[in-house]
Amino acid sequence: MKKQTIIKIATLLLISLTLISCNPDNEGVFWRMSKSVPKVDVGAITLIKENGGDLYAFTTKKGPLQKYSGGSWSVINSDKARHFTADNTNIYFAKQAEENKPNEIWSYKIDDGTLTEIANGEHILSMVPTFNLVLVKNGNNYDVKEFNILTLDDKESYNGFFNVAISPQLIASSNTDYIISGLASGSNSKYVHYDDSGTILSVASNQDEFKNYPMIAFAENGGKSVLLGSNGRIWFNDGSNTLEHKNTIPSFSAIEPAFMPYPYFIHDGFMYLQNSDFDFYKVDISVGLFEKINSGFAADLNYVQANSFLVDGQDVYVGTVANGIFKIDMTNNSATSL
Amino acid sequence: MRKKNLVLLLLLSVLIIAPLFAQDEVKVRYKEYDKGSSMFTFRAGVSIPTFYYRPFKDPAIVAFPDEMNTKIGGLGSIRYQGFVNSYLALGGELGYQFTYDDGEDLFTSVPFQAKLTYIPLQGTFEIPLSVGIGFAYNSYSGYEKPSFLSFLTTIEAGFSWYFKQNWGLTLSAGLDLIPEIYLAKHPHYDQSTLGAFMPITLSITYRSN
Repeated sequence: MKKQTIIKIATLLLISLTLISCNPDNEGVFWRMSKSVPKVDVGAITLIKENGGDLYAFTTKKGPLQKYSGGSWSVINSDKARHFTADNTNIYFAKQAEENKPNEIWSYKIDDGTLTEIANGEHILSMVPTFNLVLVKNGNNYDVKEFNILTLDDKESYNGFFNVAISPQLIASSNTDYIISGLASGSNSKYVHYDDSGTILSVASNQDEFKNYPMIAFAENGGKSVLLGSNGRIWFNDGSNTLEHKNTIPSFSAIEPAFMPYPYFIHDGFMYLQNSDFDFYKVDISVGLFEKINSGFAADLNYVQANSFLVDGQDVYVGTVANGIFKIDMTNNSATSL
Repeated sequence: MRKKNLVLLLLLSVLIIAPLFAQDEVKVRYKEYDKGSSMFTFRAGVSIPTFYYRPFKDPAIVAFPDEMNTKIGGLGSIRYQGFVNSYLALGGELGYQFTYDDGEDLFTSVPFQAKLTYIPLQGTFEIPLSVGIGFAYNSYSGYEKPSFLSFLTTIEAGFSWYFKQNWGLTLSAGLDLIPEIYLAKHPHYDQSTLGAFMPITLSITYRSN
């Protein structure tokens, strides 16, 4: 009797442990451990510019503007800058400003390291580091601008479209192709999305799915484009500006808050991004369909979380959340830690 | 008659001396324990990741220190064993093992196992040789914080010094094998791995004989 009781307890214990074991579809634990990468103590890296092998980045731990050269980091400017972008000769960074007040803006000349304060009358909301684009708030209106040798040039204006309490986001595919996505004017739950010409984007069906979520990634190629909603949905625009839902990235979680732009890069007609499991997906911009990438650079990077990408021809630099910088060689389909 | 007495004397001598020789032989094979004796042991030490064997991957084996990307960890356990005869003790062990990978994510394992120990040399100094079989509940702090229940096999050899009749210290080393098996339908079945860790421990034992 006593023996039977012990067997029953042992069986119950095993069943309980089996039930609370939860690795149904995840990758192997030992496999992941064998692929683990040392953390780099600079925090999350937002890449801004590559120049002659040197990388310029905004880092969350070591100081705002950093230069990564020859395997080591150095601080360029430790002011509490908030926004960064770059043109061919300068890196620009702006400090945070009070509502509707102009930001303090500085330029860093890459060639000689000269720091210069730029006269500015604009309230800058955000910058797109890799495409030299700036989103400016002007009363109830929003303007997209770009730096042109120490001055801000106008590109497009969006007047009265958005809820001014929560500013929209500027998401770019290039210096000329971008969208603005944000809460609609007068609404706290419905989003509107405009292209670079100020034209509103719409859908023929799935209205709620399109309007209930902000767009957080955008890639354009040959007049066609794809948008990624914060719920992982891929929307395809064949050029008509009436979008179609094609498919949904699995295991996808947006960055909090959910309207923040999501890290991705565009190469050779495809948009590449990671999901929450760090799996890479490539979206064919010409048709809006995606496929999961299981090998090559995607396998090499399956153990790090990307925070930003910087494309330089066949090289793609990856700024990670905790593991420093990686370089993808798209020709050889491989990635290495820098 | 005198010759007959001499033969009798020699036979008597042999009969008297023979048990003495027999007694010497028992001393070499000294028995500290009997059926019913028991041992209670606390162990603590380091756990050295030894290798990961992934039969579906290339390379199939990655070894410590560089290829495993796993750091030296620690472990502790409690063990109780009762002797089934003078040399074999059977019992159970409950432990806790931890290690960090290169990404500073924590792997923990709670092994619970049946343990059989053979002690060929007994007394003040002992050489315990053990095998164990059981289960381990394993958790990982990285990624999606997965956990899994696995089988567990252990082997261990040690050297003990009993500084008092009932209290002893043991230095031991062994190998813990933890298989992480995924069946063919699992999306990552090819990542099935046998994890091997080498515990090097110092333990204190109380024996009751």
